[in-house]
Amino acid sequence: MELQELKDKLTSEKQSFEFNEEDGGIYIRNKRYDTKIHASYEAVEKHDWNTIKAQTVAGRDVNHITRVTGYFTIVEGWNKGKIGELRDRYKSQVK
Amino acid sequence: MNPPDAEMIAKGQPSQDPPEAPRFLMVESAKDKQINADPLMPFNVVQKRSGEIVNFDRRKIAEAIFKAAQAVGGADHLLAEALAEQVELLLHSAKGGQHLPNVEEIQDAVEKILIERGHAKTAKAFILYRDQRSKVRRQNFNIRQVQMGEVVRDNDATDLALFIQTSEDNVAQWDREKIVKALKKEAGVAEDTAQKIAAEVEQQILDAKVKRLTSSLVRELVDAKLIEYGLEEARKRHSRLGMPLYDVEKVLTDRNRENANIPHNPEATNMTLAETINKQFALARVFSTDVADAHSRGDIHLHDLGFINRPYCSGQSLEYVKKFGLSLPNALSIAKPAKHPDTLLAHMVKMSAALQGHFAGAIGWDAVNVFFAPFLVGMSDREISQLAQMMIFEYSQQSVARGGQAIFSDLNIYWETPKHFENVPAIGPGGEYTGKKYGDYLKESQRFAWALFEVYKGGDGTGRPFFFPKPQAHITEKFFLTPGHQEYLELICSVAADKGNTYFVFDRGETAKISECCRLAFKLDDRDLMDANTPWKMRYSALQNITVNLPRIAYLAKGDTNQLYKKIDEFLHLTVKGHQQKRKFIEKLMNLKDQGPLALLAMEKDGEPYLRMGRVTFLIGMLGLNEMVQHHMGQEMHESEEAYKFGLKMIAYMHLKIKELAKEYGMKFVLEQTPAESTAFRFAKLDMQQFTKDAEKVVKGSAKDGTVYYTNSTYLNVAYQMNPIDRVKQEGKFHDMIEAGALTHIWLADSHPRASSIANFVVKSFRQTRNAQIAFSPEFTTCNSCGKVYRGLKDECPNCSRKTYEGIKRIK
Ligand SMILES: [Zn+2]
Repeated sequence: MELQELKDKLTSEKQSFEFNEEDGGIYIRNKRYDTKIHASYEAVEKHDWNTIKAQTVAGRDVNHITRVTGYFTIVEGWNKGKIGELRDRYKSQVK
Repeated sequence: MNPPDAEMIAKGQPSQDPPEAPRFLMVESAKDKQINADPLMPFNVVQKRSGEIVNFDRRKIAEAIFKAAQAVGGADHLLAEALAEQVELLLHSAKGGQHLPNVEEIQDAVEKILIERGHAKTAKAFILYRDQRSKVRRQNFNIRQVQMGEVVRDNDATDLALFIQTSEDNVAQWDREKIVKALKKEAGVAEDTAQKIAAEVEQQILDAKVKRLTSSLVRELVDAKLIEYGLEEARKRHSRLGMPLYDVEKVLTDRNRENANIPHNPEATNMTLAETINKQFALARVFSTDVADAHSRGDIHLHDLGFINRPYCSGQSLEYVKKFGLSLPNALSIAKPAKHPDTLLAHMVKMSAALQGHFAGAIGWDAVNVFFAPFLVGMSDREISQLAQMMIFEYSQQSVARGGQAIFSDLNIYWETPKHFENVPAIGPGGEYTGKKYGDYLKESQRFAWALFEVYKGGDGTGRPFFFPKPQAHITEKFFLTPGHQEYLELICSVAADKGNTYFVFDRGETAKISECCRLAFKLDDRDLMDANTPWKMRYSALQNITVNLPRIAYLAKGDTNQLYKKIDEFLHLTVKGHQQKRKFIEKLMNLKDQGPLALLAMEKDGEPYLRMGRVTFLIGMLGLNEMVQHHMGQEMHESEEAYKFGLKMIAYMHLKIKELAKEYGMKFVLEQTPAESTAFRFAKLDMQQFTKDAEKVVKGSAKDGTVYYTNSTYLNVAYQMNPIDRVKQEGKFHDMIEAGALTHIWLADSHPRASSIANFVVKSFRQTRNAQIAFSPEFTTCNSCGKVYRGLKDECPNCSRKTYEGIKRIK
């Protein structure tokens, strides 16, 4: 994609991204996932927005699933007490 | 939702001379925020009436409170300071630290705090003082310009051309008589007092030259007058329920961080708003002040207050749907009894959805495969597996229609034909008897059970476990005598190993259960045996669940065992009272029959109401037995035989006690292991505030980051490393006394045991322990970018984080 196009995109989502141009390319920080990448100008030219964005996410857009008490749910929705319990849960070896 | 909770907690506070000094200060949400939220910068500036911004000074508030207190004979400066601090916290929580409070808001907050904390006299003095000040200010101010169309005062002062925005989003003309009428009708205030109050409020509105008048503002002004006149009861009845504008905006825009399982969409938002008001209503009107206060303090927890107009949870019979079809009150169309299996499935799912709208909790279906069997004769394996797939997907995907809330559903599944259904005449297509018994359909029933578990084994489209419906696999004596049980056990254990779904329900001896959220179990008494012959009558419900905060009982007993028993009695009596009050309210709704909101539960297709009030149970949950024992004995239950035995003794005592209470009150009370998804956290948090010194010694989790909790129900410490079969054994010793159902969790984390190991474990648990139910829980990570599912909790998707491109590098 065009560099300017990328910069516009990043600016329009500035609640998620910060960027600065340096070292022959662009540094992009993804605030949501606390990641940072550096893409060279050539690389920017070569790739589309989805690819570059995915590189900033770096596989961190994940959810965790396990039993809360009575049923399976997504851990990201648990209250703090339950998160505390999850950290404590013993791990059983059923052999 | 914190803010509305805080409002609610503030409700029902005694106003005149509280019988005993409050044990703590009710400022949950404000304190919460301090503990949980990011360190907020306290505001340090205030906007004065003149618009000028000055430094915020808590001492000034304390001074004002103290002055007001002095006017009515008070002399406690420290108390004034403590109250001022709460005012600050309240301002802080209401404003989220975002805006400057102005003088009016501060004064409002002072009034609110004074009233809520039971300082009615001081509040009155403060209000008078405030009123005087504002009169003085007005005199100095001369005549201000009246804005267009808002408040126009004629020459004749009695004729006020003032318009009010009403709650029906209309504009109505000002009419003082309306205040009088409302005060008489809603609050039972005498005519002359009502007239006087209305006149004073009118004067106040005129004097203040209010620019926009809403009916809620008028009500608040009237309520303030009621306080001034010392009419606290009248104020309560006349009060308005609702939420601050600020909170509503947050609900509408921001995701609920307290419970992200509540999806974020307009339908879910509606539910949150409705629940908030229902909750306030329940605490103000359904429950008496002592019960409501006990809930707010955290002595007990009244579950699902947001669903006050519904019974708690239910066990259902498919036979009802088979026999009567889908013909529900207010339905737009009526369906006759199903003739085909997929029609029956559609009826069942729709009935579940309808019931979900009438119960707060789970909808469990008994012996699903057994009752489906007469419809499956002659079907191919492929057709049966298609039907099974449809059933599970239909349930798990119902959420699309309900703002993302899944139907909390359970399918009870049997390999054998349960003894009590074996010789029962089977109902088949068209709601007609087939002329055979359920025992004759074992083959079809087994094929369907098998197909259902195969679907569970595959998981959803990406291989994640299905969240709902939950499969409850019953293991009975007869199970082991039924051909094919070994292969079937292997299958359901492979589901447990791979996905974790299977619940193993142990029905030893003559016990039969319908399992669901609250694991409602019923032993076969004569009445139930009669019911089993007409299985559509087997509809059970727990009307309400109330959980007791056990660690707090220990704190209050201060190590004295006699006191401990006394406090248990006291708390149990409170739960009884709460149950009676909920029952009364539901009865009131049920008595409205087909004209009431519970018309569906009141329909009498088989000669008695769908919800059989005479048969309902009342759940008494317990939470934090481990911490109760720890505080009282100095040891957790896993730490010594003595501590463990003491725990058993406590539950045995409660079990006996509620049996007595059941006799005394003619209500079926049963102990339950409360799932306590939020209560384990709530009790711990409240105790950390109110019993800090005691609670911090036993509470689990970390106080530092606010992840505190109490150990669920009668469980042993979840962190303690022990042989899982020993855990099943030790926790199982409690289960016979917990009639509404109990369960032991085996947390698998990222381990992946073999199906045969789980099968061994299950058989051992059935044969060698008294445990009522076990479940194995693995952990998963799903990637939202590529859709892959992994075992264990991972921070990053290995697949996605591995992908690299030339010229793009990750900076660590
Ligand atoms: Zn991925």
